[in-house]
Amino acid sequence: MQNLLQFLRTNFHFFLFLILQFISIFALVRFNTYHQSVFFSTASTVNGNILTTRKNVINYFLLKSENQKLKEENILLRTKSTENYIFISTDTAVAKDSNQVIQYSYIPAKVIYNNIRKEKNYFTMDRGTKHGVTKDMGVINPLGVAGIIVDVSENFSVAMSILNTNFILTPKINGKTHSGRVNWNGKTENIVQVNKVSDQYDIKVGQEVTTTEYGHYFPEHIKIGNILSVEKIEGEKYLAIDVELATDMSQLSEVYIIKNQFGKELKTLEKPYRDAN
Amino acid sequence: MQTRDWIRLVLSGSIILAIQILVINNLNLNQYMFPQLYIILLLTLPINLKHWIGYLIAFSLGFIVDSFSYTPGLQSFTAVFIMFLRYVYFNNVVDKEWLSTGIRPSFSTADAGWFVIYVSIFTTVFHTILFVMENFSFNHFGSTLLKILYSSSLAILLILLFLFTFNRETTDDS
Repeated sequence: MQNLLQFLRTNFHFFLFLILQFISIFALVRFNTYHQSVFFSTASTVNGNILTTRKNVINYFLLKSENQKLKEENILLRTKSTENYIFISTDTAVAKDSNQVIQYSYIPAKVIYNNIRKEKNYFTMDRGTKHGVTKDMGVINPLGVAGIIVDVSENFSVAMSILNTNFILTPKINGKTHSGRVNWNGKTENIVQVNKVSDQYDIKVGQEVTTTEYGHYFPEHIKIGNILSVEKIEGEKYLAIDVELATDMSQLSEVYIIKNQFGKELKTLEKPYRDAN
Repeated sequence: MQTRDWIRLVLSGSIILAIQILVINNLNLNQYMFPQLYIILLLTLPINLKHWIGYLIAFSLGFIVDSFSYTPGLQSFTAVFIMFLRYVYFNNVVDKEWLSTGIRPSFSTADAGWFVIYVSIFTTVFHTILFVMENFSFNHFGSTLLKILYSSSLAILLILLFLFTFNRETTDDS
């Protein structure tokens, strides 16, 4: 302690110099619009690059499990391909005509930063406005729902994780839309809750929870997870449902950002009525 | 510094800052000429002045010029930094005996040749730091370089002229 004080006393001039320089730099960056923008754009570029490098290294070690996941996705896609289906009825013809328009398209992205240890978790991806990403797009990984984009820069975007207590989705349980909502209580990793589902429905452990089109983030039937436990809440008409996420949020790496071609139009149309509530 | 040194600093400071803020900052000679005359006050402070007083004077002067040119932090950063370089120079290069006399550098108290070089180097360094900080990146470095060249040449000329004219006043107490 004595030494520290002595050290501070002998170098007092130099510390004063550093403090004054720091104040000046702070004022420069804080109060000058130009310097502020240079500072923050440089900082975000540096951050982005560091995070990308870090992710590249980590990805190398995750290649094996990533391969496994891709294989699983391939199998899933293959079973969905039309070649696997036989047309039983001969009087229905399949026509590639103009009355079908693609509504959802996918932008592949890599997660370069991810955290699931907090109550409000976010993750960062290496795709931004340059690649067509905008706010309010859904993010999925091969196995299920991962999050929703909340902020976009030129090259990067940030998504609110499904493991965020502010994240809300309307679920389909066993293929039927329920007026409940998927919302994490911030406690156990990879277990989310479904609230406000009436106890009159017959909901069982193991049933599949998927997305609805409500909110226009995701197409229908994207998997959220499977029901882990169902309990009736004492004194209320609702069920307490725990869902085990299909996606392992701690291992999030390859994701797809979902672009809803009509999202903006739908949002604009619905806006006055949503705000009215 | 004694009381009369402080009075002198405040008086000459007000005049030079007024010239800097009211006249030179509004000159608009061309896009490269922004001479900072007020560093004359920093360069002519007594050579054995306590460091912390020097830093605070430099910071205050920079702060005043900043607040009149809407560039918070820019001049104060550069002024404090040039004060730091000045101490580094005086503590390491100049011989101790001369340092202890505590004179203010000027034409009559020091060797005129040395004084011209001293003013030129510190003025150039000051403008270099100032315009690099103002640009805040290495884009358009050519125009920054031209600014440094034009502004510091003009500033050196003005400062030497100024000191030459008011030489008697700044030396009669040493």
